[in-house]
Amino acid sequence: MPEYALYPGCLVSYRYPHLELAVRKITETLNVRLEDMEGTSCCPEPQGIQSTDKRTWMALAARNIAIAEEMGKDILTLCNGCFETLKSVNVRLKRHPELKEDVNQILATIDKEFKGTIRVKNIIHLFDDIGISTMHLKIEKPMTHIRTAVHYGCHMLRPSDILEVVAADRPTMLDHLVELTGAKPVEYEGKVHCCGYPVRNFDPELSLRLAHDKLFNIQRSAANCITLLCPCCFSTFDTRQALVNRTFGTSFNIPSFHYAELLALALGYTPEELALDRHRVKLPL
Amino acid sequence: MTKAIKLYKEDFSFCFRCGMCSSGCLVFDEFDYKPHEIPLTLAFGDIQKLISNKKIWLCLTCLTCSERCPQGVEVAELLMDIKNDAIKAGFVPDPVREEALLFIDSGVVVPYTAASKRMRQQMKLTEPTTPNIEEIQKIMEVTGFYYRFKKKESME
Repeated sequence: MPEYALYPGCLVSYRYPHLELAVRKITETLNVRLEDMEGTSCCPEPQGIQSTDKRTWMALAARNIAIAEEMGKDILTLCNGCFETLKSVNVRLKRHPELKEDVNQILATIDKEFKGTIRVKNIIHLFDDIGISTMHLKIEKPMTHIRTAVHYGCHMLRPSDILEVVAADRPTMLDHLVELTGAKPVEYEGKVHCCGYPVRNFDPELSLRLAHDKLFNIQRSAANCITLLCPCCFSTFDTRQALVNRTFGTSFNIPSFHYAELLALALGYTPEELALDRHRVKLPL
Repeated sequence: MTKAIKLYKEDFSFCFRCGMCSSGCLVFDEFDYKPHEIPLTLAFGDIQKLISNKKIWLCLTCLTCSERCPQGVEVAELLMDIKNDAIKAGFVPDPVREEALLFIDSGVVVPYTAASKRMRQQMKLTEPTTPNIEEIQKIMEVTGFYYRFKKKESME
């Protein structure tokens, strides 16, 4: 039975716990054991905190990784931001001994050490470990009525050499996983573009405009919903869609699935069990 | 001055200003310094002007520029170093200060509220882990992150 140290991240834990719920449901069905991590901090998030002080960002990420190392388990993240931070710090410290030495000097003050013994994974890498065919057999309710625009989110793809992504400008890994649920991924313009979330506090209008452009492109495609991986993108497309509509006089009505939710439905869970009423834009169920 | 910027002052020749980075930038129009202008600015330009420029904070860190560069110049990474230097020099945008203070006080950047607790209970999820704030603040003290924000606050 595969086992992971679960790192849900602050946004999922505190604001969108229904995403954590969906992940706990699918891992239960797929016989994957999750163990909670104790005392972790924010990953720290790769935009604001890294822009503020890279060394603090790296040291605190290494501390979170060290907690999982003590547990002897790979980390499972549910958020693109957490994934990029933890994975890129993990990879960089393994590749560059001088960075590792510096970080370990900082960690020594709290009796911790980064050893480089584990890997960092996102929910989509779960299926590399348990096998796609195992999962295929568990699909009870194929989501054939879903035509979805797949939104990867920046930090699932880039930096591609560190995150080990093939063809980051034309990614397909999530599209394949979507097909597995019976849903049909559809192509649209600007698939690998940013949702606008990172600048929401620096320039709210710019942030909404980027979200608008993304929604506009999806509206023009054949999709009836969005499938994504990141709670930040979820916040943009679901929570803030009404604000986009008010700001630009549009009438978008495009619901969003986290991939874990789409899969959980296909595995036979009901919308009630998944608390899907937490979505502002109602889903095609 | 950070290592990457030093490297660029010494050897800016990696970038031949083909503009691939700028061609992929979603916020190109917003910037005063366009992505392809950054390496050369670091080599020959006025760095003080660059780090005090507020528009550098509009970078989405989507990393498309770094990804596209045929010369392996990590433009977004350079901009990250520039922003680190901006903070050290005292150019701290309000959203950065707010996030940093929340991070220092709570160990996270999204607050855990009564509503979070209620939602989790309704979904029968266990209490989320409490950040070990002592360890977290200790690291922030060692790197100087803590004093950079706390000192400024007490002076106000």
